[in-house]
Amino acid sequence: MDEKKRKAFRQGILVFAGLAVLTGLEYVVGINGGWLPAMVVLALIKAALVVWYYMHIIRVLNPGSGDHE
Amino acid sequence: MSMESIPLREFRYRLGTNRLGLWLFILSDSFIFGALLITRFYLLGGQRPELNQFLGLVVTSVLLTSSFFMNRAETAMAHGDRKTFLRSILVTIVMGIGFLLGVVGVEWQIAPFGPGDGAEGAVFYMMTGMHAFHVLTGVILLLVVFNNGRRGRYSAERHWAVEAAAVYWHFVDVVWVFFYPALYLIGTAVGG
Repeated sequence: MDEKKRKAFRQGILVFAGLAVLTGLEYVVGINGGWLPAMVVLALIKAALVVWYYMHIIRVLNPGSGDHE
Repeated sequence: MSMESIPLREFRYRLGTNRLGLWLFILSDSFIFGALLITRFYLLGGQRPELNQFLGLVVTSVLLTSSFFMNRAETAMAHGDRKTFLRSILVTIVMGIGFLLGVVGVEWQIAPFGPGDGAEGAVFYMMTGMHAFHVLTGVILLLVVFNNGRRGRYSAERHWAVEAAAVYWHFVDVVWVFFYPALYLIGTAVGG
């Protein structure tokens, strides 16, 4: 149980780190002209990370997964 | 019959339908925000409102970090760690209030235009206002979940309300993922 919990916490930290890096990148691109295609791609990647890892969309696409233990 | 008292098999069936219902709600809510995003590009095109860049980055970081703590709270509850759950959800609530103060309390006051000052004013106040309203309802939902959690109403086996509050909170974060660059970063700044 503890190992599973640690693994889940670690995944949350990794996703957060990824989002933070992408936000920093977005800011740098933004203050240097904000090239639209780059901004759109960065926003889509960030949204996909949140929807997949934080919102667990798989639970609704595959009802058998992610049942409360 | 409350969710705590129904048999586990039926609870799991209800969990599936609850999840589908929540995602359908989120899908319908997305259309509102999608329409606002299209409105921004239709009315302002390659221009954007003159806003405080530093403040924009700070409030974005606060909301992003709150999402991390919300995920931590949900994970903790799913593993029966009530102490971490309560602590993390409290941090999420404080950060949500911080975001609201940053946008409504500061950015709205220092913006060089009002809601009636042209297209940029209408777009900015409508987008941030609608989003802030969702953050506010999210904070209220989290307060309810925190209070119920404090009373021991959730367990590792049954915590649908925690999961629902988390999904809603992350949805509010996803909306800002698109609103932040659209309002603060894309295009040339125009004064009020």
